[in-house]
Amino acid sequence: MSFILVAEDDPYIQLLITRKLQNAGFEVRSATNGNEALTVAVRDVPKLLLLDVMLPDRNGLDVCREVKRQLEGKAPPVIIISARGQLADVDAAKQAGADDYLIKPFAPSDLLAHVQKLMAR
Amino acid sequence: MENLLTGDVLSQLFSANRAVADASTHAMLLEAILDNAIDDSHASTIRPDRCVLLKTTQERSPTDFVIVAAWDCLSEKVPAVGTVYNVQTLPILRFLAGGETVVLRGAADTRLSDLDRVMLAEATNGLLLPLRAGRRWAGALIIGMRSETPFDATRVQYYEALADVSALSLYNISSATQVARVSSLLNSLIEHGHYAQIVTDPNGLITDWSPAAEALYGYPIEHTINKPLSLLAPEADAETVLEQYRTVAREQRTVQQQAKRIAQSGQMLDVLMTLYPVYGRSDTVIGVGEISIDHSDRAPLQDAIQKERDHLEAILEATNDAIIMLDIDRRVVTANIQFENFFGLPRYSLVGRTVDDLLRQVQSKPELPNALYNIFVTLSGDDYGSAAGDLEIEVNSRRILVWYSAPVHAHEGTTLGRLFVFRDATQEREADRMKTDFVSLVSHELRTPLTSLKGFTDLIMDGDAGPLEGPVREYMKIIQFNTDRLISLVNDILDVTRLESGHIDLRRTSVDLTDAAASAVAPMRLIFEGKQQSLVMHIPKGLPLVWVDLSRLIQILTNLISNASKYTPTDGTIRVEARHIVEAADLPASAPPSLKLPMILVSVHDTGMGIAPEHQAQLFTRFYRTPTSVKRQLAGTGLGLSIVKSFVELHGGNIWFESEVDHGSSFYFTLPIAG
Repeated sequence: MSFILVAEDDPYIQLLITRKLQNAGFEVRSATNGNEALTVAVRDVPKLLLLDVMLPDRNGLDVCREVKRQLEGKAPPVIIISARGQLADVDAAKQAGADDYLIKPFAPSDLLAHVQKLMAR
Repeated sequence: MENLLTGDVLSQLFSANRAVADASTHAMLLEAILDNAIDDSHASTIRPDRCVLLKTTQERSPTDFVIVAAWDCLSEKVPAVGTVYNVQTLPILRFLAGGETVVLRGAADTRLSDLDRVMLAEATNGLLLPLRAGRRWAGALIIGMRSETPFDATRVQYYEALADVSALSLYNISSATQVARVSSLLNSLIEHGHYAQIVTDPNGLITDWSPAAEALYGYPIEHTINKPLSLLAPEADAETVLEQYRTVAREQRTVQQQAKRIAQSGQMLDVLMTLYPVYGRSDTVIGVGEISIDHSDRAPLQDAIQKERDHLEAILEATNDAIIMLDIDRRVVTANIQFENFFGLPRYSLVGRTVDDLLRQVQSKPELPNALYNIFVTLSGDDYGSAAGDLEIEVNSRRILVWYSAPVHAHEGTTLGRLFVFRDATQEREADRMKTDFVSLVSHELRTPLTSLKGFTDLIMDGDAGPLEGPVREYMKIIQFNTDRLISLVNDILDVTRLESGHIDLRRTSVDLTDAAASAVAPMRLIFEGKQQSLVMHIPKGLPLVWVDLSRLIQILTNLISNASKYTPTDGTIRVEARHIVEAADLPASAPPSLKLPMILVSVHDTGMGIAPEHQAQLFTRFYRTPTSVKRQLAGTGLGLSIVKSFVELHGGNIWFESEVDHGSSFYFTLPIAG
C-alpha cells in the first residue's frame, strides 16, 4: 500500500494538494492535525509525508522529528510546507529531519515536482 | 508788633513781594526793590536815591558782605559790584549782628563813621536792613534818601517785610546760580547720556524731569509730571520707593544707592543714584532730587548670562536624553539628570571631575557595560571625530540607548570639548519590533488563502478541471496574473520590513553566476516568449565564483530581468552580462567612484523605453514609480528596486544604471568574488 500522507489543517489547501497529487496518479490520505498525522504515519508508514508546520495541536516539525525517530530507517521522506521561508525556518526544518521544504503559496506544479523528485529516490 | 501795614500799603507790599520773589538775578532783585519803594506819604512808590544789595556767604554769622547790585540816582556815586565789606571797612555793619533794622538819620547820625558816610553817599535818611531767611543770613540791603523826611515806623515795617522776601529771593538767586553751575556740569554729563535728573515733591510726586531722564526711562516729561515716582519702580517696590523719598525729605539726608528701575519699554534697569533734599524758601524742604546713572550695562549682562545659564539648565533637565559634556581639559562640565537616571552615577560626583574619574566610576559599577567605558575611553581623547552607536544597559530598567558623540565648537571655531548624548530608544525599538511582528504575521496569514487562490487557479489553467472555453480562459488568466502580483507584493513587503528592522540574514556560498542566472531566467521563459523578446546571456566561462546568498542573488537577477522585460516592447532584446573587473579603467563611465576592486560586474541591458532624467534620481526610492509605469498600468509596487539595492549593498556591492529615453536602460551591480 503506497500512499502519500498530507497533514494540513486548512481544508482548501488540503484539497488542492490532494487533487494535484491524485491527478498525478498518487494515492493520498489526509490528516488534519499533528497527532493524527503521527499516528497514521507511524502505523501505516506512507511513501511520503507532507507536513504543514502550523498544525492546530502541535508543530509540524515536531511531528517530523517524532516520525523520523520512531520509524528510524523506515521513515518516509518528509516535505515541510510553511508560510515562513526565512533561512532560519528552513534550517529548523532540516534539523527536525525534513527532506524538503516548500514555501506557501506554491504552484501546484512545483509541489508535484518536489514530490516526484523525492519519490524517485 | 502792631501791624501798621494796611490798605494800599499792604496791597503795595503784595505786589512788591511778587516782583521781588520772581527776581532771578541780583540786578532784577534790586530793580524790584527800587520799583516798589514807597514815599513818605505811603501813598505811592518812589525810587530811593540809593540802594545797595549786599550778599554774604556766611549763613550762620556773617562777617563779609559783597556788593552784588547797587544803584544811585547820581551815577557817579554807584558803588562797584563785587566790593567786599566787613565791619572794618563799613563799621555800621556791626549793628546788623542783632538782626535789627538800622534806621539812618543822615549827617546827624552819630553812629555813622566816615566810611559809612561814603557808603551812604550823603544820603540823609535811610535804612540798613538785614536780609535773613529764618536763621540763615542772605545779606543786607541799604536804602538811602536824600530827602529831609525821616523813615517812619510804617515805612520801616514795609521795608522790613520787603526785606524778608528779598532775603529769600537773594538766597534763591545764590542757590540758583550755584544750581546753574552744577546744572551746566550735569548738562555736560547729560550730553553723554548717563545722568538723569528728577525732582519730586516731598511725597514723591514728580515735579521736574530732565531730558536725560526721558532718555534713560523713556517717558516724555508730560507723562511724568505729577505722577508718583513709583512709576519707575518695580511693582513690588513701589511703596518702598515712595517711602524712601519721603524719608529723604523728612530727614534731610542725602542717599546714594543702587536700585532697580523700569523704563517705559518694560526693560529693567540697574541705576546708581543720589537722592538729595531740595530746599525751598524759608529753609524748608520742598522736594527730593534724584540724579541717576544707568548701571545696567553691567548688571543686565550678568543677569543675561545667568538667565542663559538657567535656560540651558532647564533645557538640559527637561530633555529625555542623557547628556554629558567634557571640556578640553577632559573634565565633566555638565551632566544632566537623565545621565544620572540612565547610568546611576550621581551628578555631584561627576561635574568638575576628570574623565579618568568618570571612567573609574563607570568601571566600579558592575551593571554598566564595558561598551560604555569604551565609548568614553575612545572618544574622550579625540578632538575631531564623531561617533554613534547602540548600547544596552540595565541599571534601573533595561534600556536600549542610541548614543552619539561629537566635539563641540565655539562660535569662532575653537573646540570647547566633547558632547555625549544617550537617547533612550527602548520604546521605539519595541514599537519597531511590534511593527515587524505585525507585518510578518499579516504576511504569513495572507499566505494561507493565497496558496488556495494560486493553487486552484493554476490547476484550472493547467486543465485539471477540464478544458477552458474562450472568455473563461481569458478571465482566469487575469485572476492568475493578479494572484501572482498579490504574492509578489506580500513577499516584497516582508522583505522591506526585514530590511528595515535589519532582520535579514545572508547565507553566503561560492556561487557560479551562470547557474544563478539560469535559475532566475527559467521561470520567465514564457514571458519572453509571449512578448517575443530575445534574452542574450553573456557570462564568460571561467568567471570567478561570487560570494553571495544564492536565493538573494536570484531575487536580484529576477527583479532586474523582469523589469527589463516589462519596460521593453515586443521584439526587444534583453542582455545579461558579467565581467571580472580588476582595474577601474575597465568600468563603464557611469560607475560610481572608489568601487572595491577586484569584483564581478553584472549588467542587465534592455532596449526599452528608458527612464527620463527627472525620474532617475528617485528610482531606488521605496514605493517610487515613474509616471510612465503608472500610466501604462504596469504591474509593480515600487518596492522591487529598493529591495534589489538593499540586497546588493548587503553583499557589499554597488548598484547604478544608465538610461536614455527610447534607447533603453542598463543596470549594473557588483558582487564580491569568492575565496
